[in-house]
Amino acid sequence: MPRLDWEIYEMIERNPFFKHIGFELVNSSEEEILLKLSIKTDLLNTNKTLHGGVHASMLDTVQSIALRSLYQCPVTAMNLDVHYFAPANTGHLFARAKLLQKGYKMAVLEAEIIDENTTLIAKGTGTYKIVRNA
Amino acid sequence: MKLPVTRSTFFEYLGFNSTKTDTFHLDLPLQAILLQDDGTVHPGVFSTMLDISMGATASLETNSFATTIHLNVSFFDLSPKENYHAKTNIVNIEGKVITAEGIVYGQDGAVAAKAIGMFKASPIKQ
Repeated sequence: MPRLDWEIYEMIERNPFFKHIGFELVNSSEEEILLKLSIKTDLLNTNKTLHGGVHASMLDTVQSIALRSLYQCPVTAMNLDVHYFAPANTGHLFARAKLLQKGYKMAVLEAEIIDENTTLIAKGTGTYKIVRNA
Repeated sequence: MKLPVTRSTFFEYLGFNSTKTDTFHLDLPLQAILLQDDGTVHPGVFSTMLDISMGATASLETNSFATTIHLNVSFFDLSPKENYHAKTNIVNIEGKVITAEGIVYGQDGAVAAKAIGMFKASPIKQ
């Protein structure tokens, strides 16, 4: 994947939801985009574990950034599929995405969330529309 | 009469409102913090809304805590609307596994997102 340029960083800076949840972009090399989330109380469900919506948000976010970096244009989510494997309630989580299919108008990725001990927390796939000439 | 139901911290953090009559009602007044840089609603917001709506309905239906094990969401319209409402239908209950389907509607009645989810019922922590 091409190196993230300033436009991607600017996009993150101007993304209120990204900041509200507390995502951090910790690696943006050509080979990998790595997203980090430090779990805070605000993100927990009534069972005091990370809310399922946070996993979904994190997977979508890392996939979107990877695609915007690759295509250098806006993308929009069409479908997101998430499997939840283990609960998390403290520490840091990390998400990375992998491109499965690069089309002209659509792309498919898979992404996973692991914790500091590399335990697989959640895994998902996403289908995105490539918004060319936006 | 509408009765409030249990709310998580994440529920409050994103600004949801819920009530329960015979069914679980979930509403979301849109705020700027829920948007992406291009002004559209972050897909994670609708994913969260559907997870809450389906999970709470599954929980009420089985008198248990419903843990999400699978969630599939299709997004149809991410353009911002002032208010959203989510509805859930329980599709199947087999043992401890509940399958539900949920829809997020904009204030104009158009479908913004639709999901199917699987939840595992477990005892509610006291």
